[in-house]
Amino acid sequence: MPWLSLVTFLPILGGLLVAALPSSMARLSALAVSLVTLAVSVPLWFLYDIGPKAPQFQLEEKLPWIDAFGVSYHLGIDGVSLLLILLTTILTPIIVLAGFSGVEKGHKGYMALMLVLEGAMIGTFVALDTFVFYLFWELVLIPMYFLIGVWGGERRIYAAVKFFIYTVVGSLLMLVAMIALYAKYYEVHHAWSTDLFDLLSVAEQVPFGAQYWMFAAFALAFAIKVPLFPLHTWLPDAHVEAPTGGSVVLAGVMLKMGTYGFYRFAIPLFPAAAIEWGPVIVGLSAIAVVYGALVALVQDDIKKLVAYSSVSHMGAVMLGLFAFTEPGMGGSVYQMLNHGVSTGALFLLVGVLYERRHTRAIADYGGLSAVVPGFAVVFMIVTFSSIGLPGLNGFVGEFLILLGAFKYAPLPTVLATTGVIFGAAYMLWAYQRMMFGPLSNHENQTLKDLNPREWAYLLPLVALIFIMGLFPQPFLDRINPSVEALLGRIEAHYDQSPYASTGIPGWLTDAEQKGE
Amino acid sequence: MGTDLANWLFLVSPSLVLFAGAMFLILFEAIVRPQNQGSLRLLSMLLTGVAMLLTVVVWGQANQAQEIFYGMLRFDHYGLGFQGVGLLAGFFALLVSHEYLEALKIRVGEYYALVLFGLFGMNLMALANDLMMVFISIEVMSLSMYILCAIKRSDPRSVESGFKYFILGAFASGLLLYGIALLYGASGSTSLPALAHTLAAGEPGPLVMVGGALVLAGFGFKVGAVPFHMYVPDVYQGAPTAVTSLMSTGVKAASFAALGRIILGYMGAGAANWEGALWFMAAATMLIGNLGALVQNDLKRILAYSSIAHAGYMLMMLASVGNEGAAGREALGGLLFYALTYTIMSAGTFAILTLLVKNGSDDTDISRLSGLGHSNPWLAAGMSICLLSLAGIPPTMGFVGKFYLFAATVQSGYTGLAIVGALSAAVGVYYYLRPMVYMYMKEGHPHIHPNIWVSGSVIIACVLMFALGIAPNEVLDWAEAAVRTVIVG
Repeated sequence: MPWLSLVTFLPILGGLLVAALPSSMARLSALAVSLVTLAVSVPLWFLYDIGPKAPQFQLEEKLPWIDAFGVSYHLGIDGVSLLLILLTTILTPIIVLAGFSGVEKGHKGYMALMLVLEGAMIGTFVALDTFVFYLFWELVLIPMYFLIGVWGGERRIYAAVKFFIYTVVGSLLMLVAMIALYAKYYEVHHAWSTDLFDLLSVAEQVPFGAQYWMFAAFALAFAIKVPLFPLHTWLPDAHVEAPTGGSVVLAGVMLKMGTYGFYRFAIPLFPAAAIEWGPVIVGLSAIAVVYGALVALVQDDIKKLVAYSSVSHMGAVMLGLFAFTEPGMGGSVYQMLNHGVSTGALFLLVGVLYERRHTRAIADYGGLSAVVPGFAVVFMIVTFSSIGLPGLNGFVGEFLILLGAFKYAPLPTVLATTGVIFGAAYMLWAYQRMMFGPLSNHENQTLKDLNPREWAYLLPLVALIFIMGLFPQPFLDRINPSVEALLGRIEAHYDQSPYASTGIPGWLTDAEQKGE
Repeated sequence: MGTDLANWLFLVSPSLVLFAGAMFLILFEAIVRPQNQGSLRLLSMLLTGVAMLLTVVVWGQANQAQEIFYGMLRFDHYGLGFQGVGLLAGFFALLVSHEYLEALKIRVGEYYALVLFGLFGMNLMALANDLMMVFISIEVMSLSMYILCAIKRSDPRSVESGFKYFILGAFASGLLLYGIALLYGASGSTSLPALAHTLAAGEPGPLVMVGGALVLAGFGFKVGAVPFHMYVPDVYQGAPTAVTSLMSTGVKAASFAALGRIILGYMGAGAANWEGALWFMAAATMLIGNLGALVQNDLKRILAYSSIAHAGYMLMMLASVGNEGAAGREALGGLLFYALTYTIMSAGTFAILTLLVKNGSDDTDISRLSGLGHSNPWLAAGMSICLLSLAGIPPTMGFVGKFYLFAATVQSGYTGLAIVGALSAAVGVYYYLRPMVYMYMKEGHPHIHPNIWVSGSVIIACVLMFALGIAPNEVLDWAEAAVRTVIVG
């Protein structure tokens, strides 16, 4: 059974179906489609073999597509893509359910676009052909552009256009780099191919100087998406203006497309160049962690605060990824999932408040725990998850990242650790200002607590926060073999980097000795 | 001899149908009442359709490329491919013409005859194998276009458009002719293969260099390449929209077809190095076209600059043709495929613009689209698809076309040019998004009422864009087959 095609195209076709049905049925039909997609994606967890087959790609599907360019419709997953697919399919019904209120005009279009977006994002996670990947990568832009531009806030047009242009600049340069790689393949094999496996086999034959710039082109596209400091400026705009569902999907899944791109394409294709660029990216990641946290500290708009916290958290993810150690990379992938769950939940909570009070200013709240105790409890759990309290999911990822990165880059890691402390500060401070203290604003006195629908979409996330915090092993079992396979590839190409002669990175020689 | 002639006439039968049809329409128009001019549209569409059909019929005859009419024309798949693209452009323009002309209160029956004459010129350009033939067919096409631009005599902008196009076009023709004369002086022949042969023999003298530069300038004008692009926005804006559509698609495709042949003749022979000139021309055209469009508020001007930018993408292909062997052919295939792609997406967009008429004249300010997404969701969706395709966003044909362009350029070793192209395309995305901002994100009452002809052409364009964006195999094979027979000498 073509599971991956099914889980990719079910929401896209479902979205078109929702668009075709009358408006009155839009909400329920969208929920049904997203739940069916979830139901179809759950078997993937069990079908994915974590035994000896684990490091390989599984559930592959391959069909010829555009012969003239050697494009094949090639899908397949490893442990990392598996978990990101599940993150997407779990978040989407939650977003759809949250969108039952708060989306006033044209909710049919909103629901339809959300489902198309889900399918396109899953497409980027399952594609093993670079052409197919690029197709989905760009396709994601269109629904998101409309979600921000049509259903967003005051400066929605500015934010939507900025989001689109930023991404496209990076993607087009990546496209040129991809094509340069195809040309290399043609040079070697006298045939075209855009298949990732084929390209992996020729990428090492590209001269290092060219690899260096090809990696840079890929990295630019992905770093914009992550977004890595200093390319992050589109994110706060997009987050603040986007409707709640848009923010959740943006923070929850779309940013992971950037880190996933590094993991799946940029690093494996050009491992030597990745090592060469490593210090730059690690440095920027550490800056992002601290910078994001410091900027978040001074925000008076709660949504902007969460947006900058995303910059900070995604910086940590990048730090772990470019540590090139198993705990670092594994933790980085784990943190991708955590960030999706906890930041998604934060945006949902902000949305709940915004729908009731139509303000996002922290100063307009205060003492809410007295009137909305249920909300306050959920908010507290999510806050603790976001700051990495042991026992909750955030801790596992952050700990692994810092552990893995410290060995390679002690200074940036120490810097990033202070960022984590700032992270605790801004979240707790915001929580304190909003939930505790005197209930001074009389408009807040009649605030209603969470209704059953809101409980219904928040509880699964709370459950995930606990499950992923207390039982990380099933997840790590799926992540680690895949990460090890990538590390193996990096080590095999380590010699190609000019670094090899300088002998600077002791961490890599350590890893080699360990491997022998 | 006699059988030769009969065979030749058969091979150019699509052009003959257009020519005879245009002659007939001029006479027939005299007895058609002004209010019945819809019948002229149907007739001219029928003739274009027959010409397309005949192009398909004679396609098989071109498996073996041959020179016909004593070397004046070269009958091959490459020419036929561009001929088909030109006819498609004409078909799209005719499809929406009648209602648009009625709205503008233009009741000039010669319009349809002129369009057919223009298509006749384009057909011959695609096949022309001799510089004299190139020049004559350019003039046949251009004279029709000059008149068509100025066909709304009561509107100063239309007259300005025609006048400007004519004066500058005549000047460009002069340059082209002078260039041809110099090349003739250098080689003693105007035939392209003979020219290529002579050039291959020795180092290019000054006559060849200057002559080639003048020919390039003449064509640069016709395709709207920088630095010969100044007229494009004014002429495109002033001309009736249906004519603009034909100018930006058919005229461009035919000019590129002829230019491609000429450059291939040069470069294949390795006689003169035009790569540098084409490189800069392509880069400048892409950048200036895309940057210029950013500050425009009139949809026709935006599309005019967009058409300059797309000319730049196609010039990128011509620069890459210089690469010998497979990559050069790849580039020509890309040129043909992109000409088709651009024709479809541009014609679809212009079809919608023909609806933007107010009180008998064009009113194509971008704000006219405000609220279209709510008042006419289907039309807005069609427009968005055309724009996204122009911007090169998958899964539309525009993406496949751009991919082909970049692939051929990189393969020819011009990675730098491809990067310039990619960056300018990213700039372009901004102005392709702007109409969508107005349609979906701003309030308004656009008062736009699509007629069945416009809807039909938008539907055709959108279906083609998606179908060829998702399953382009056949057409890609077709484009590659088309350029396989082109290599001269």
